[in-house]
Amino acid sequence: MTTQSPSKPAKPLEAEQVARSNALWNMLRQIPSQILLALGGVLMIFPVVWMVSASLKPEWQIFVRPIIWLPQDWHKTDAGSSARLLNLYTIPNDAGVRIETIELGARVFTTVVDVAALGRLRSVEAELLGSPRSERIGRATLSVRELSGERLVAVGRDGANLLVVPLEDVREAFNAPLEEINAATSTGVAVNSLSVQAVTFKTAGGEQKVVNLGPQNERALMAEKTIASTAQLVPAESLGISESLPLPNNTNGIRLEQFKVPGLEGPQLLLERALWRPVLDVTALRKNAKTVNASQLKFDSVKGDFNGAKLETAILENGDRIAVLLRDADQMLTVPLEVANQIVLVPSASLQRPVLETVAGLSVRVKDFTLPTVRDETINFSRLPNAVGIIGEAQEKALVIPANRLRGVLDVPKDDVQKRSSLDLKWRNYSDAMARDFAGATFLTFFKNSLVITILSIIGHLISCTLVAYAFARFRAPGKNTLFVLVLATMMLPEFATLVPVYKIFRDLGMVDTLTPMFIRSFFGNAFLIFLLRQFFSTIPRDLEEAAFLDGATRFQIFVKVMLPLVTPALMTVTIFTFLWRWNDLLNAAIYLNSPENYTVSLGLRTFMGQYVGEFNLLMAATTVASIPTVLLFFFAQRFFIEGITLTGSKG
Amino acid sequence: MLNPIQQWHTLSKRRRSEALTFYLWITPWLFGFLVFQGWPFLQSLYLSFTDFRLLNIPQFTGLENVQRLIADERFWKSLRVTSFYVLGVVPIGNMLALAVAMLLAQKLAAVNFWRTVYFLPSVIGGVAVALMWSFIFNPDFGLLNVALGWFGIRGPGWLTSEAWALPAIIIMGWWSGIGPQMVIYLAGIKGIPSSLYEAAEMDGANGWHRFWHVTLPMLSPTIFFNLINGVISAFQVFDPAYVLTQGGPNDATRTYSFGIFEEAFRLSNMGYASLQAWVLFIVILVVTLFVMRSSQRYVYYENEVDE
Repeated sequence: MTTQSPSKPAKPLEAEQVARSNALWNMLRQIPSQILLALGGVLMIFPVVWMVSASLKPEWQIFVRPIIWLPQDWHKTDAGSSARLLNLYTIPNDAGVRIETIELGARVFTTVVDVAALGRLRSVEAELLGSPRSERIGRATLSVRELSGERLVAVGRDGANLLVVPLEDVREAFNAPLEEINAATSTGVAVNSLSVQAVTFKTAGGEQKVVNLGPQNERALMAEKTIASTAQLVPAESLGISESLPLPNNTNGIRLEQFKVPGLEGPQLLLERALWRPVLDVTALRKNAKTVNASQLKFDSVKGDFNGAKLETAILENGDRIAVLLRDADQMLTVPLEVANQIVLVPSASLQRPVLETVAGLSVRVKDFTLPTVRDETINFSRLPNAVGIIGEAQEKALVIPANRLRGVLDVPKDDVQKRSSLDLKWRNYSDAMARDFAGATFLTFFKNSLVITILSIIGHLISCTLVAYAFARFRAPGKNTLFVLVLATMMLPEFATLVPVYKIFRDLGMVDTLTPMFIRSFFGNAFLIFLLRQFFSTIPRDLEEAAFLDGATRFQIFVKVMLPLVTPALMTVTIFTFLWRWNDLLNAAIYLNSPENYTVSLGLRTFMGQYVGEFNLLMAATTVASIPTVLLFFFAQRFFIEGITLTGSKG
Repeated sequence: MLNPIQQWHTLSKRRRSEALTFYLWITPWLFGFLVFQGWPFLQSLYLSFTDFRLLNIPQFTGLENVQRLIADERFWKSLRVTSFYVLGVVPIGNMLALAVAMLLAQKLAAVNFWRTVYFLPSVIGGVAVALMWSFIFNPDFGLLNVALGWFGIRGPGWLTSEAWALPAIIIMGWWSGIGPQMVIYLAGIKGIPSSLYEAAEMDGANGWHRFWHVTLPMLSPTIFFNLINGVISAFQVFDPAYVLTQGGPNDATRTYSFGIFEEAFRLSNMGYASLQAWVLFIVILVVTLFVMRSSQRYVYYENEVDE
C-alpha cells in the first residue's frame, strides 16, 4: 500500500500531462509548415489584394513611390469661398497634442552661434573625427562629432583640418534664416590664432557676430486651419511689390513676404499662384446654352464679372442681356446672365480628361472636375461642379490671406509636419468603370453577353454530356469501345488544330459576330465532361435501374428520374467547369466577336485596357468585377471544384 | 473477334433495340465530333497545303506553305519561345504544387483555408490575371521591382524588356497554375496507403527517405498525369501574349498559339496558319509520347486499373 499510494494520484496527472504535452507538441510541430504556407499564401493572395486595393484608389495613388498601400484621402479645407481646397497638416503644439493646420510657407535655416562662444577653438585632423550625427540641442540642430569620447562641433575648415569647439560651449546656438546669413558679408575673425568666417546678423536685440555651424534645416510656417476661411482669390497682376515684414499678433517677430493688394485691407500673405479656369456645370450648360448669330446681337462692349470670370455680354433683339461663352466665327454660344452667374473658377490642375461635346451646335470642351471626397465638414460641396464645360481662358490668380487676421504662426521643423490622411475607398471607381461607354456598349452589356453564353453552355453540356455519358456507361452496342476511344482521343486534340475550319463553318453560316459560336458547340457534348460523367455513372449499382425497368419505366424515364438525381454532385462539377471555361474564354471571343455590343467580359476588359491607359483605377475596378462571378462560384461550390479536379487526376 | 457489323447480326431483338438507343443517345456527341472536330481536323490538314485567305476558295499550292514555314524566322522563334515557356512553367510549377500539397497533406490547423488561398488564383480568368500582374511588373512603380529594390536589386523592365518579358509570363503561369495541380497531388498523396509509411518507419526511414522512397514512387502516376496535362496546355498558352504584350517586345513573347491567331485572324493567312496548327498538334503529340515513353522508367503502377 505504501509503495502504491504515491503513484496512484500521480497516474491520472501523468495521462493529463501526456495529453497536454501532446497537444503542445502538435502545435509546435505545425509551426514550420504554417510559416511556409503563410509565406507562399501571401504571394498567392497578394496580387488579388493589390488589385482590389488599386480599384479603390484615386488614379494618382497607384503608380507612385513611395508606395501608398491603402487608398487614402488627404484631409482638406476650403480656401475661403474659392473652389480651391487646401491640404490639412497636423503638427504638435507646445503641449505635444497634434493640431490641424495649413501651411503658410517654408523657410530654410542654418544653425549659428555667437563668436564669443568660440573661446576653446582648436584645429583637429579631419580623419581623427568620427562622422557627424545630427542632434537637437537647445533651440537648434547641430552636427556632432566625436574624438576619443569628447563631443565636438565643427565650425570651419583649416586646410585638411577641421576647426572644432566642445559641444557644451555652443549650447546657445540658434537658427538663423539661411538667406540672411548668405547675404551678409563675412569677415575673418581670429580666435586662438586660428581664423573663422563670421557674419554680422541683425536680431531683435541688436547686431551680433555669428559663425555658421550648419546643418541647414527646413522649417515650416503653419497656421491654425481656421485662417483658411479668410483666403481670397485675386488676379495675380494685382499683387504689389512684396516686403519682408514681421507678422503681427504675437508671432515672435517671424518675418514673411507680404503683399499690398488694392481693395484688400492690410498686407496679404501669398499662399499660391496658379492658373484658374472659368467653368460652368455641364448640366446647366446643356440646359441653357443657345447658339446665336452675331448679327442678331448688339454689342456694347460691356464686360460682366461672373465670380471672377470676365465675359463679354451683349443684348438680344428682345432687349435681354446675355453672356457670351464661346465664339466660333460668327456663331456665339450664349447663356442668360443668371446662368452665367453660376460660373465658377476652378484650379486648372483639378480638371481632367477632356471630352469634346457639342452643345447647341458648338463644340465645347468638357472635363471631369476631380470632386474631392474630403473628411472635413467645412467644405461646401454644392459650390463644386462635377463635369464642367470650359469657357474662356485660364487666368493666373493668387490666393492670399490677410496677415493681420493671423492669430499666431507656428514655426516647426519640416519633419514634424504630417499630412492628415485617412483611409478612403473610392467606390466611385466601380460605378465609373461600369458606366464607361464602348461605342454604345457598357460593361453591363459585356456581363449580359457572358452570362448568356455561360448559361446556354451549361444547359447544353448538362443535356448532351449526361445523355452521352450514360449511354457509354450502361448500354451495350457493337462498336461502343471504339467510339469511346475516339472520345478519349479528342481530349488530346488541341483547340488550335481545328480553329480555322471551324471558323469557316460559322462564317459560312453567317454566325460570326454573334454569340452563337460561343455556346452552340456545348450542345454537342465535351469529351472531358463525358468521360467524367461516365465514371460517375459507372459507380452506381445497376439494381436501381433494373427495379425501375421491371416497374415498366422506359430507359429515358429511368435516366431522368433515377440516375440524374444520383449524380447531382457530378452535374455540379459539369456546371462549374463549364462556367469557368466560358466565363474566362478569351480566344473564341477574340476570334468571333467584333462589335462591342457582342463583347464578353474578357474581351471587354482587353478593350478597356487598350483605350484607357491612364485610368488604372477604373481598369482594376472593372477587372475586380469581372473576376467576382468565378470567385463567388468557387467560394460557394468549393467542394465540387476540388472533387471534380481530384476525379480527373486520379484517373490519369 | 467479330467486327461490329457481324456483332450486330448476332444480337437478339432486345439487344438490338438497346444498341439502337445507344446510337441515338450518343448522336449529339457524334454529330459534334464529326462537324466540329473530326472533319475540321482533316480539313485543316488539307488547308495546310493551300493558299486560303477566307474570302477566296482555297487554292492548292503543294509544299509552298511548308517551304515558307521552314524559312520563317518568326515561326522558329515562336517555337523556341513556347518551348522555353513550357520548360519554365511545367517542371517548376509542378514542383511548387507538389511542395504545397506535401505541406497540406499533414495534419494541420486551417488546411482548408490554405487550400482555398492556393486554389483561388486559378479561378480568375486569363485577362484579369494578366491585367493584375501587368501592374506588379510595372518597371518603376510595380511591387516586384520595389521589393527587389529593398534588397538593392535594380529590377528589369519586365514586360517591356526583351529578356524578361517571357520570364514574367512564366511567373504568371506558376501563380495561376498551382491550384489545380496542388489539389490533384493532394488527392494522390492521400491515396497512398499509410501501411507503406509505417513499414518504412519500422525500417528506420527518416522524413526525407519516406518522401523519396515511398511518396514519390507512389505518386509517380499523378506526377505523370500533371506533366502531360501541363505540357498540353502550356503549349497552347495564348491569353498573356494577347492581353499584355501582343507578342512583343521583338517577338519575345510571341507564343505559338498567338502566332497562329495572328497569322489566321490578323494577317488572314489561314492556310499557312492551318499548317502551323497541324505542326503544333504533331509537336504536342511527340512531346506527349516522349513523356509517356520516358514515364515507363519512373511511373510505378501498383496494380492494373480495372475497368
